[in-house]
Amino acid sequence: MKVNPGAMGRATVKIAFLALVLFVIFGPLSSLAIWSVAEKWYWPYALPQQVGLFYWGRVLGSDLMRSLQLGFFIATAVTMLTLLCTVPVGYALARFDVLFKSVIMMLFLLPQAFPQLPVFANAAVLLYKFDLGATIPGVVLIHMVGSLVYAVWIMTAVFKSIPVEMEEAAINLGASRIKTFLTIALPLAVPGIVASSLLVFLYSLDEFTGTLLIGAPFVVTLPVFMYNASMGYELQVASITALLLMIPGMVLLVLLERYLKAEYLSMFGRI
Amino acid sequence: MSEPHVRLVNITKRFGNTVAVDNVTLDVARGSFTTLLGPSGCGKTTTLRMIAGFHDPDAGDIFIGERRVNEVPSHRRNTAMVFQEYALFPHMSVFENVAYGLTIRGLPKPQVAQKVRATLKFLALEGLDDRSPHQLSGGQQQRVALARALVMEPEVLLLDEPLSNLDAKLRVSVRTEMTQIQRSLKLTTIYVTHDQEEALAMSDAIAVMHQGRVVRFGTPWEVYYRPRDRFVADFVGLVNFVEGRLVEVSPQVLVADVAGRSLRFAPEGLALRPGDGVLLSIRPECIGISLAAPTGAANVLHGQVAVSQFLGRLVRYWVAVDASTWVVDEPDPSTYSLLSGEVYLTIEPGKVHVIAAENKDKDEGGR
Repeated sequence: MKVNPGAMGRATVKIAFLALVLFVIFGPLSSLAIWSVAEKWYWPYALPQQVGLFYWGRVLGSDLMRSLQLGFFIATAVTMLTLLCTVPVGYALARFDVLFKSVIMMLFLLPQAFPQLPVFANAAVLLYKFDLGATIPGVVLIHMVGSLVYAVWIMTAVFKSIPVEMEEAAINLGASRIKTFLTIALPLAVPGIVASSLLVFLYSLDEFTGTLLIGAPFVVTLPVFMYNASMGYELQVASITALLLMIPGMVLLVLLERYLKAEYLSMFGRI
Repeated sequence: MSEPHVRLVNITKRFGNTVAVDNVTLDVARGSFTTLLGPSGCGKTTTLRMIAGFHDPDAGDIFIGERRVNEVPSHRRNTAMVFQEYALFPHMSVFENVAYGLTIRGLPKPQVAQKVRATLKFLALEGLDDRSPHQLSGGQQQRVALARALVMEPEVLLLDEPLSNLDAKLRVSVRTEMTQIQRSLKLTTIYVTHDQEEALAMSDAIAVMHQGRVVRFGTPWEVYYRPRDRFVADFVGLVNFVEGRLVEVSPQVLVADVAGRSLRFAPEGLALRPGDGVLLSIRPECIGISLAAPTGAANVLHGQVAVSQFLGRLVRYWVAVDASTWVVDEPDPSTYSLLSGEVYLTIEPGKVHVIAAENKDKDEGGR
């Protein structure tokens, strides 16, 4: 068999490039993975001198699981409340001539336009005034400041992407506005609602600044737990937390890729 | 014409500063197939949507039967609409799509199923009940949309360019099918299209719309052969326009001077006088063409073939006569070779139509 030297050269470059990409993506992650099983690892050794699941056992037996549960609970609450607000608002913004529509959309974006820390710090003052500091409802509310932005924009785009003729056809066949919404617009928006929920859920699960400012010291979600762990220079615990935190994110992103349709994105410009 | 079923009385619709429909009055006969025909942006779809209740007119009244429906919401008008893109519900099967309206009406399930099956059978859609709309061909989707409308037994059927998404051949067969269905049900139907051939083929009456107004309303024959202005004549098929001045007027025949030649035509009951200017229209198929000089014809023109096109069922010639060019359709191309060179055109006086006349004394529009 003859080997074409040109083709071999190209293949080598390709493989080298692929290796570089894999290194850039998985390099930092592999460091996390190694740290999570390193029981003893001192300079100048390239790899741990002693590996084991000691820290995994410690982490899984600690408050981490409680933080994980709490994070899921808060993220679920944030997602449901956000949907409850944004599905009707998104529909109204997509279908009706709402006065000052662009101003309303900008208002939702406003908290994102400023640095997060002062926004959350101000919100913290307000929430403490209403006795919501260091409580779960307080953390849910602060998460919603951010989640509403994604959700309103996505939901408006989702409803815009549903041809208005579908609803007109339903109305023409005798359905009322509400019936039309429930039987046509809402079922057709399900993939968009799922996509929006996943984004909001992930956002809430990973949210750190607001949770730390409002929730501490009683409401400790996983990112805050990780922060506390790394403050104590327990790199093993921080690594395990980070790895655990990545799992829901990865699962949800795979789902997101399935549900987030290109036509929603194309509608963003038309809102 | 039988009694009007849908009546539009001076309806106007504006969108911002644009007048989409401008003071339209129209009577649609019960059981008729009436077409709103016009170029895009002429207001035909807006008119249809006002009848369906999707737009409120800014002025004027809409009646369905005896009932004034201006304030009646769309879902209570008992009109069924077939949309240009069909608007089938993608998350429902064919059966569920067709059953949707009946379910909303609260009919018992067995009755819904029976009606849906009967309608699907009527439209040759049996066996497709469980399919999703996206699993159907364009023609099938179109029929499902029609089934969904017909199953409601509406008072008035509204069709918004439902054939525009089908390929040319399918369009012809579906339009024949639709006409047969409409005739068999005697269902008052209002059809919107920009396709003049479709309008001529399907309609009992055609309302030609231009810039928000109905500029001609009549039978397909009247609209085609008796247009009342240049726009209608030009929009509905090919036409030769001729301007001339009357030199002879008698109860039997009018003679106009057209660029130095005499053209004889029927008076059509018009009160015209010598000296009046006239705009005449002559359809290409109303002109005869031959190589030999005809004898005994009332109007003969002598010209030169400039372009010829073989279109299958006819041959179209562009013939230069003096400074003007005439379009002539030869419906029976009997020879293999197309005519060329010098030819004679013959025009029967009865096939010349006066579109507009201008009185030389008063200088006012004739029609």
